[in-house]
Amino acid sequence: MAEQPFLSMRGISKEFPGVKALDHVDFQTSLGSIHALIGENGAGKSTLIKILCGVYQPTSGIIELGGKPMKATHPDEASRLGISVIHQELNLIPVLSVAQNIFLGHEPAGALGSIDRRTGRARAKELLDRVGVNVDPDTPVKRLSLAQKQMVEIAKALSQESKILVMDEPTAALNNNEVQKLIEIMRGLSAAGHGVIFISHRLEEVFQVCDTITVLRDGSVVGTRPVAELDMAGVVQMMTGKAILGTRIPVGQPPADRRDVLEVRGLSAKTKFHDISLRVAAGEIVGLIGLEGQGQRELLRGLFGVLRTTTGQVLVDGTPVRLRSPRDAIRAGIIFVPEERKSEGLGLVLDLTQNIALPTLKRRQRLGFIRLEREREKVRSLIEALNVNPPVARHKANNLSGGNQQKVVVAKWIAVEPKVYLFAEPTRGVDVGAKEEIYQIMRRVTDQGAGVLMMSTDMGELLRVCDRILVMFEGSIVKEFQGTEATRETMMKAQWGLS
Amino acid sequence: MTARGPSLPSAGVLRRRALNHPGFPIYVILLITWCVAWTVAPSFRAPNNLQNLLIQTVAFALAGLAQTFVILAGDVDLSVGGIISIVECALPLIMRNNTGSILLSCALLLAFGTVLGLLSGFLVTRIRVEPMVLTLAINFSLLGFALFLMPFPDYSKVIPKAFIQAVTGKVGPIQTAVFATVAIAAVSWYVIYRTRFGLHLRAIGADKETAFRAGIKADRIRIITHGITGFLAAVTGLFLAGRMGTGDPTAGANFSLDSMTAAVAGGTLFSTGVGSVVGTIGGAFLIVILGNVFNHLGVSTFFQYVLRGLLLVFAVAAGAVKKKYQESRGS
Repeated sequence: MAEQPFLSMRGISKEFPGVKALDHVDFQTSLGSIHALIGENGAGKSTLIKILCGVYQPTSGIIELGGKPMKATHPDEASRLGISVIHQELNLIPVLSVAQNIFLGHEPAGALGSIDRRTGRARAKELLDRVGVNVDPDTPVKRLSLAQKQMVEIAKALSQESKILVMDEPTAALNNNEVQKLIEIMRGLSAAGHGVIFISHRLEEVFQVCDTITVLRDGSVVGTRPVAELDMAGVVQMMTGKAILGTRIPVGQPPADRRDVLEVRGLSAKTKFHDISLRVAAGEIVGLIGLEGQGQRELLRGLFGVLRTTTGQVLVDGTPVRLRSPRDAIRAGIIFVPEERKSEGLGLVLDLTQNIALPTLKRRQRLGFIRLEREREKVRSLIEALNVNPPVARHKANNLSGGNQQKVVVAKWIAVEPKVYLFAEPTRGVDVGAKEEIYQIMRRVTDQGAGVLMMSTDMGELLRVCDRILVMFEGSIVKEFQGTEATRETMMKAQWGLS
Repeated sequence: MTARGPSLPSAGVLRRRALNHPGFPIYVILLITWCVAWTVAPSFRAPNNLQNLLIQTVAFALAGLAQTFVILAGDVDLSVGGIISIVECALPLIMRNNTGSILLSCALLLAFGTVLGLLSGFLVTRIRVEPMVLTLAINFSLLGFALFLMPFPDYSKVIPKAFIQAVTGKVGPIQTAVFATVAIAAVSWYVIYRTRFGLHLRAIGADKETAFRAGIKADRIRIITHGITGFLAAVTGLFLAGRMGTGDPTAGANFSLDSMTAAVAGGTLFSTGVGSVVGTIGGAFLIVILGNVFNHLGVSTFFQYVLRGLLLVFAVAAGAVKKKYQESRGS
């Protein structure tokens, strides 16, 4: 780059207990530039942005803004220094008006502690015109469309005279027209001398609007290049790199006559996913992957009866089932091991016995009393079988490590003897050793005749564990791979909707 | 749409605004209740009954306003009743029959209420205790202390005539206290809807995180809001003492919950930043009208409590139904 960078982050490292999220990252951008920051899930994009806007403090490294060192310890300070982040989840208050939201925290003051509403309205109108959105400044924000809300966020950033605007996946929820509009606005902003940092999962947009691309992988910068020197395949390669795969766990041996424990026919849920058809056979582990927000989470929640589905059919063991609540799903033989195991999967203050025994209490009760000796026996055998450590049934669940908590969640469902296991991010926050054990447990339950459908954003994990992998994009299954023939590159391309 | 100066909005806009106003449902309910009361209870139509209703509304309206402030800021303050009681019981003990003493006592007790409110606010924000639990605990202590000050309404400790006259005096047919309440409501409205402080307060109530990120000093505003609540509760206490002529350690207790009934029935919602000063006044009026009608009809006090509870459920449900209806129409 010919001109002096306006924002310069040098040697930024960030360590969280046990994890190095960023490792000597250099990132520079100048005013008037639209700079893409891309990478896989967990590559470090959001950590870098959080450091830039003062949410996190870097472990080491320096940030310079306009040639001067910058230190922000709070988002408010960063925005006063001229850095605004437009988050995916918007920072607007629905009941307040557009003008009130734009100037929240720095309202034009009038007499008697009042707000100079006329000035506010006029200035809001001016800012809204600059981003090219035609809404009345007095409208409550709750009446606006998502795209309009995003424009209001941008106007809010402009009102603080932000030099650098970070847009974190602004297009994720917009339709095509709205995306084009946003792209125009971004061009307008850069022409007016603002620096724009664009984080997106949609490569086409990145190539359409950005002039520079920085690719992050595993907390390091792979490269920063002008767009003109890159093509999409090259970028995908930069993002995936040559990752080392662990050894594959043995492929399941489906019984000679394939029997589907789960069959989904044309399942849709309002705006979340549409026309999903898939099969999971007894003995099979099927993976489900997609970028953030492509409907894969919702699909699992739909299959567990948490999310209302509109059309389609679900069959368990060949029998159609109605899934209107988790209770229905469990009765039908479908269980769900959620991502948020602490809030959704476990009673943290309960001990292991209580946690594991909870879903199957009925089976061990007589006249409304629980037969404790039977319960203890069952729990002990499960704790042993799953190698929960420490194997003390009286321990409270919140004293266990992430991996062992996950085993307890699985144990409680194994006791139900389900036919279909749904897993969401089964090994997130779990250490390496426990990961292996969880994979082994999955294999074991499938060997005993169950089917597993697991959603994960960790490609390496799916490649190692799954017999088949389904890729979701914008609410549909766009690609199916055999577990042994998928590669990171082909999967990545499918996830970005490229193939 | 072009930027233009303040001009009169069209009739359609006005109608939509009225329908969307959070205080709208309570006035519909009030109108219905009024009509029913008018038909079924002959004594309700007595000419001096309206005056009676108005003066009774004052205490509920003031306490309701006190509660509206904190609810809008996302908290709740159950010590309103305790503050009212303690002010009411302290007043006859400290006030002497001369202008200086009267003014000083009032100022002292108002300051005392404010400080109690600020203290709740401080504890809620700094120790991060649940406001409901904390203020409930404070309420118990204050009620206990009020009983210690004056175990029963003690007519040997009389409040100076001049103060009583100031509270119960009339301008034409209407008591001064009613006018004062209207004035306090108007100031409250201004503070909540026209000042930066009020805007920030509502922003905090709607979404603490967003308000914080916008650089609003959330803790400070919450503490001050609790202070305002304490102040208004103390005003309510002074008024009640003046009406009674002496203190009553139990008269204030119900206000902790009644103030919430008035605010919530009036359309103020928890943790949304949505509320209405006018609605709270309506809510207070409804509580009084219902009590009045039941008295005219000879309904026992026990059932009055039952019906008051049902009213609250009804008011909250009505608000929720209205919200759902509007959302389904996308307006």
